[in-house]
Amino acid sequence: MAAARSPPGLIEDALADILLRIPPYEPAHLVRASFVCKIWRRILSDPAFLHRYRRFHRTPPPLLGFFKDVHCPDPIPRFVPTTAPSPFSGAALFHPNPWLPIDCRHGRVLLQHARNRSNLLVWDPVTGDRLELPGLSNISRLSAVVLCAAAGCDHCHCHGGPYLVLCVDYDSTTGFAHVDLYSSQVGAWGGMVSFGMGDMESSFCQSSAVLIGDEIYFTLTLGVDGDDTTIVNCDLASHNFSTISLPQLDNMSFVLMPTEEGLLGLAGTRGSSVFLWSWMVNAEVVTGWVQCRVIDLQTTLSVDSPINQVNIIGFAEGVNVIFVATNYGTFIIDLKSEQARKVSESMICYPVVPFMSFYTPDCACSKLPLPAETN
Amino acid sequence: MASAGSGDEKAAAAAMITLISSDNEKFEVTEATATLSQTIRHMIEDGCTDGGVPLPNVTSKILARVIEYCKKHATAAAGEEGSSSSFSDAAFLEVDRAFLEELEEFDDAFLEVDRATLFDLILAANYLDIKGLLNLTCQKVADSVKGKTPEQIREMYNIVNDLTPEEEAEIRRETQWAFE
Repeated sequence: MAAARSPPGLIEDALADILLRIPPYEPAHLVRASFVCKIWRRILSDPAFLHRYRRFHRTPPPLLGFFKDVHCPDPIPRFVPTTAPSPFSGAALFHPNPWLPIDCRHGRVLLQHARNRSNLLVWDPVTGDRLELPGLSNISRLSAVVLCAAAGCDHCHCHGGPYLVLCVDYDSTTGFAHVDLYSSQVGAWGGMVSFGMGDMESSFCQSSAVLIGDEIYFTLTLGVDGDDTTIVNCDLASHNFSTISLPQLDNMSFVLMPTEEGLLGLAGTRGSSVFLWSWMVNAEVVTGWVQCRVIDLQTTLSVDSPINQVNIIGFAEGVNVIFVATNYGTFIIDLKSEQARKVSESMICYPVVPFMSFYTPDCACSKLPLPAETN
Repeated sequence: MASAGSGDEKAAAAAMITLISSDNEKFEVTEATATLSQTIRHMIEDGCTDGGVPLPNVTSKILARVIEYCKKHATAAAGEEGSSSSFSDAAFLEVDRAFLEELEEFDDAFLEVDRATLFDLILAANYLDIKGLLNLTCQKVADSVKGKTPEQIREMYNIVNDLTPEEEAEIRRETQWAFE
């Protein structure tokens, strides 16, 4: 056989087998490879190959970055890439002002208007598609989730497909909370269920919501001083509501998340450690919070000086990564490997919205439109 | 076959298959080794292996390496199936781990070949449909490509850039971010 064998000498089939194994975590790897020669470009822009590529790497789609609020004095959302280089940086910097990202799932970002809070917008940053949803009436504070509505979808590439937005809002004039559902296929909101919260001095604190199976969980802050926070569970199948109290925490910086077993999980802090809990509902055993793991940040973050400020500011669904802000900067911690990586030198004060999606060469286009005209 | 019972297992292990390389060299291997290749497995199932299996796309040099890989991994597969009863769980786990480590070392050493051989192994793994070998060899090349510029990749693998200047300009314009 010839000594100078090279990939062009390989049959296209075998070359595809190689390109298939380029990891998806840095979108630039695949894009650069598509620049090598005609045959590489042909394979890497073939929709059938890219479909196979996403299936090969399966779920979850990789973390591409996160949105954070910058307060000066109005909140301005900024996108911080976690890949280098990033398709969403430089000229293509996300700048969705005045829309504030509040949730992200299955490649779509849900945003709320900074001033007119009844207005929501769904944005696919990869394709640039965006849709302002019909306004909801009298909403000031809400928790909402966006999710793909395609049956049997693996969520590797559901751009342009149908989606749902579930929104829980509190009407202070009636003391009722409402769950509303928007379906992109219907193009309208439908009220699902309302529940009264009595005459309590309650305020509905805007928080990230988490969807586990048919249940949506969000937090509610009660009391004049906002010192009593509880978790509300809304079962979308049975339309039942219930509340769950929090485990013992140092402060109110915690995130709700699905555990690997599909249960409700919570990551909170005590001292310089992250505590992970899971909510056990088996009637035969104990119902309540079971502490599953403690991550000592001093060790995990390899910081010698004492860590004296810790806030948990986000959770990236699927990739199982939590965002932890400390006085030594902001880190992402992979819950599986407990590997940490610094994503910001400063301590990010507000909750972040992580963005996960595959970014294959067919998406490559640096001209991502803004989600809406500013102001 | 192997799953039908211990008697059949022994019979399967004892059954020999002859593989014939493109340069007409004959290799006697056990069926357990040969059936790591899905292509050969199907031939055996179809009863087309009498008189040997001609492999016109694989040279003797490459076939010898492929067989080396299959032998090692066939032993590993047999070891996993058969060794649990005589050990306590802890001892079994220990043996298991040691075995996996050994296999990993074998794979690492197996990949210490020049590029031409590596590509021939990929072609053979693709043709013979040997999943583990294809994964191992392709991953090695994929890992060497990631993080490299197109120029570096071309240089590394002697690839001629046949994109027209217009095509290059278009891709650069669309994906400038990837080169920053």
